Amino acid sequence: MNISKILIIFILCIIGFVMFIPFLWLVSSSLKPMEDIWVFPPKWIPNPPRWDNYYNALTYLPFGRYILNTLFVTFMVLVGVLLTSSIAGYAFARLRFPGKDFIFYVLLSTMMLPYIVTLIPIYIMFKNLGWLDTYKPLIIPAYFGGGAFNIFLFRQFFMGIPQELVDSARIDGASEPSIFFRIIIPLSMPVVVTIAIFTFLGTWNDFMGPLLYLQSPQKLTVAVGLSYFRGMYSTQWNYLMAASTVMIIPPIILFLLAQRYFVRGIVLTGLKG
Amino acid sequence: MWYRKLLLVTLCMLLVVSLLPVISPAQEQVTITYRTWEGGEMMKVNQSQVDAFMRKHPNIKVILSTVPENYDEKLQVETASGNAPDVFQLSAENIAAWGSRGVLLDLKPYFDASSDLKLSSFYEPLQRQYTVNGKTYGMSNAVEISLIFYNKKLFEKAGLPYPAADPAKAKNWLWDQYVDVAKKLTVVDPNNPSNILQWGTTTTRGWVFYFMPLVWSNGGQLFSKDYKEFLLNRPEAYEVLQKDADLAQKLRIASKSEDLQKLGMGNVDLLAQGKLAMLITGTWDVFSLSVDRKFHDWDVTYLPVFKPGKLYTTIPQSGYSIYSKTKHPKEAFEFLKFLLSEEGQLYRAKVGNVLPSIKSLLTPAAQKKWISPAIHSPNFGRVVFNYMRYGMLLTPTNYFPDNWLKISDVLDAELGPIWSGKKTAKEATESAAAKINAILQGK
Amino acid sequence: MRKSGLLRQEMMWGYIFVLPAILGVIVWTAWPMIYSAWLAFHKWDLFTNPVPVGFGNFKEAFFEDPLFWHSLKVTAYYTIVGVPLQLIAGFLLALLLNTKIKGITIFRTVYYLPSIVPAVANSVLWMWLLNYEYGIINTFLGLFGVNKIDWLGDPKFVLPALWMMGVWGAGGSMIIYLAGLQGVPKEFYEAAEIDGAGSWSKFLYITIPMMSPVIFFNLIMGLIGSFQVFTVSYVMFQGGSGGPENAALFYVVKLWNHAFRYLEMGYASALAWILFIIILSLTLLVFKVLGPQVYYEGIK
Repeated sequence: MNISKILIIFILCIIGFVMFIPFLWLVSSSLKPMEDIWVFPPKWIPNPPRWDNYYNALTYLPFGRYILNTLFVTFMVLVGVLLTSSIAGYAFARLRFPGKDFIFYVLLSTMMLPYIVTLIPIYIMFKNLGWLDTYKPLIIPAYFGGGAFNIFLFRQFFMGIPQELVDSARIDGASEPSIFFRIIIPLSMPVVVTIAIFTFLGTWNDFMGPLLYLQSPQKLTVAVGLSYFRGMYSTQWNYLMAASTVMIIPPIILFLLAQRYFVRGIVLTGLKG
Repeated sequence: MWYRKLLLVTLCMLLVVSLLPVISPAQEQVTITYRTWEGGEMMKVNQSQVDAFMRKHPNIKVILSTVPENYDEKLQVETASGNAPDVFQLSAENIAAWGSRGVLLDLKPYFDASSDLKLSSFYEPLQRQYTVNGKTYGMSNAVEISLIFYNKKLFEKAGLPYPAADPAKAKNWLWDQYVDVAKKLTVVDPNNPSNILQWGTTTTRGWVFYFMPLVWSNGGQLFSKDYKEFLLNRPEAYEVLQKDADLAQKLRIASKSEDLQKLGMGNVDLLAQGKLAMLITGTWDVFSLSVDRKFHDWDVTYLPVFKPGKLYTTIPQSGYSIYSKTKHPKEAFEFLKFLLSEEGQLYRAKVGNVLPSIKSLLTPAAQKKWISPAIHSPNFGRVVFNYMRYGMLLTPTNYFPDNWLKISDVLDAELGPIWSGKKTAKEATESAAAKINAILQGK
Repeated sequence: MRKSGLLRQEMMWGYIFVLPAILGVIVWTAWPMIYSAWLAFHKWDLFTNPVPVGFGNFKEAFFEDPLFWHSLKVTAYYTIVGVPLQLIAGFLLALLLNTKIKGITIFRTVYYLPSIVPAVANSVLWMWLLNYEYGIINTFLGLFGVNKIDWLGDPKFVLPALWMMGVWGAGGSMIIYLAGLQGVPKEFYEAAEIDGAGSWSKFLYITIPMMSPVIFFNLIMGLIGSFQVFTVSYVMFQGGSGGPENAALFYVVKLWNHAFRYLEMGYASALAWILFIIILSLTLLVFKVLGPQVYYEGIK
């Protein structure tokens, strides 16, 4: 191992430690009794660790139900986003059609208006559709483009795929959809995985959406459930931290699973010939 | 055998009559939503209240909807779309603004028609705070007042008598005497004079509900009677603010925000851990002390005065309103009545973080229904009942007008520097006056 | 003949592929945006009918609102420093995490953690990090003889504190950079090495250009997002109060106050559209000026 590798590992560890602190504090607080949470300087290792905080936090409210609900919504949204934003991104990246740039800027501009002023008209729309207190407002828009952020990101990546691959496939008579699914996507696993991670996290943690559109207690999601620990005069921090710790496990699992696909997609051997 | 036939017919009729209750149409089920922002421990308390009501009224189903975060957004989006909950919690600061715009049901006719609960059943200032132009847009089941909590052990250690529980004495508890007491209760580290081991008191931290009683006691006002002029930039007002801020900045008998950060805890913790002798706060801290921190060596007293003779305190507030477009006004009011009734109020008052608003519970005789030695201090009832007689509302209009939230935000931003030592009270109030008068007189 | 047939096919599929997105914009976004634009010319308190005021809201914003320019300045200042900081930090982190050592996956997961810890835990954590007496940051600065800083109480230091928090949250863009780094064919590096290129040259002439699409993406998204910064201020400074002397009163925080505290939804809409025009202009500018600088391997 040379010097530069050692230096890099050293820096990685230092920064890694800093990055790890919030997680440490989260878990450490989750095992403390209420009185100890704000003691200064903080006691890192609670003694004795209160594992029952987890039990109490998760049974205080039907968190099992919330987790299932959230998994459902997140999965449905994931499918919709991956499907519709990837094809749109590809169209903007490699397909030629009139009005392409204009449509792209219009799409981008939908991200430029603060959500606060569109909350009410969107809510009224969903109310008139009869979609209040259902998962539809949360899921259906994902099948209609999945957001300009994702489309833009796909576009950037797809524009990096060598034209030769696409041209030769076209000459071989392949249709655009088959080019897309059989050639482009396998080469783009890093960006697909990245968007999957972002989308999963965004939906999993989404609070405003479920808050506004869901009413029935049995339909609620984890993010809303977490907010219930906030009291008027005192928040039940230890339960909140315990529930939060459980809540970050699915995104971590997804991230770890995704690492397998986070590999170099473009293999150039055989092209320069 | 004619009498056998008669017997048979009579039996049949009796049978039919006895079956009537079963086959008559069941009472209509009505469902109403009840929205609050109280998560945490209050959620279960609220649910018990709801359950108790439903047992008494089997034909009314109440759905409790708790929204501890982003409460205003959700409620306003729903209301703007015509979809608001039937009964909801609302800060008193919003009553006039929302009521005058037709969002809130006028409860006066309902209270007038009610046989057991009238508007007059409630603490007087609340009646005024919720009535705008003759219409009552809500009511609260909780009163909170500003006052001082003190640590009894620290007073004993310093050899000082406890502050007055008797209002007659308190009316003569002048500012300078208060400062004197606080000085005696401040302990400086002998090895390091900049390290304060024990603070005598706190400042009002610039919160209008805490400092107005002091300003009033000096003859100052927040607004002119016609609500067209901001008056804190007069000497009788800004002198008070300056003296209060100086407790922390100059005299070092009260903590600044940097001191709190250094200690890593808030004022309530300092009191509970014997590092603070007196704390200016609201009655809600009963719960934080007794229940959250299991600290019981505290008691309460009145705020000091600048001029003798009268006591002053404020009433930070929130209550409940009914949506004007509710489909079930009668049932909604029935539920609201329960929340406001003595029985309903006891659920909350016993928890310890609020005082009841209904007069029948605010008498020394009724004390034991909700004051308990486990949660409240020995003098609590006495001080609070006396002090409530002097509760005053912040605005001369008696309710919070439309532009109050805007003014309050400007007030907080402009006066903050006084307590952080960046501006004198004279400068800050002058600057605040310019902006606030523009709001009061212009737009 | 064949060529135009292929071209027409391409066009058709182009429209089909963007159809869901276009429908999405038309159904979910166009109407609310048009409605809010209409509202910008009205006074609306949410409960009574909107009252037309022509350009009144805009006049008020530009000439009468004492905090309009302040909030715009604070937001612009936050963006000008914050966005480059986050761009660079995310990029450097991604480079670090791209090194081939065993267990790099563990490091990646750890670096990903801050962006998934719930916001409430994060804000509490930062209050602790920024603590005057015990916070790590002040302790660290103390090692260099720097006096303790009241990060959240002193208006001068509020923005620096928020910049730090922004860099922390660069975990998101870091993943995007990582994905981009995976897409740089190692054959390019190998060929360059054969030609005798050193590390710095490889970085400058291969890594940067190949990463430029992703850098460009993060720049645009950073711009659009940073101008609309809201949550960090709302959470750290008690629900929209804007911090000491309004040092953290970002444009959208103020907008929120007008919409949900002062019942001025019409004015809030006008503010929103002013911001929209600012962001759109800047974005188009960046596209026109920097867009051509971006190197897309696929477009030759």
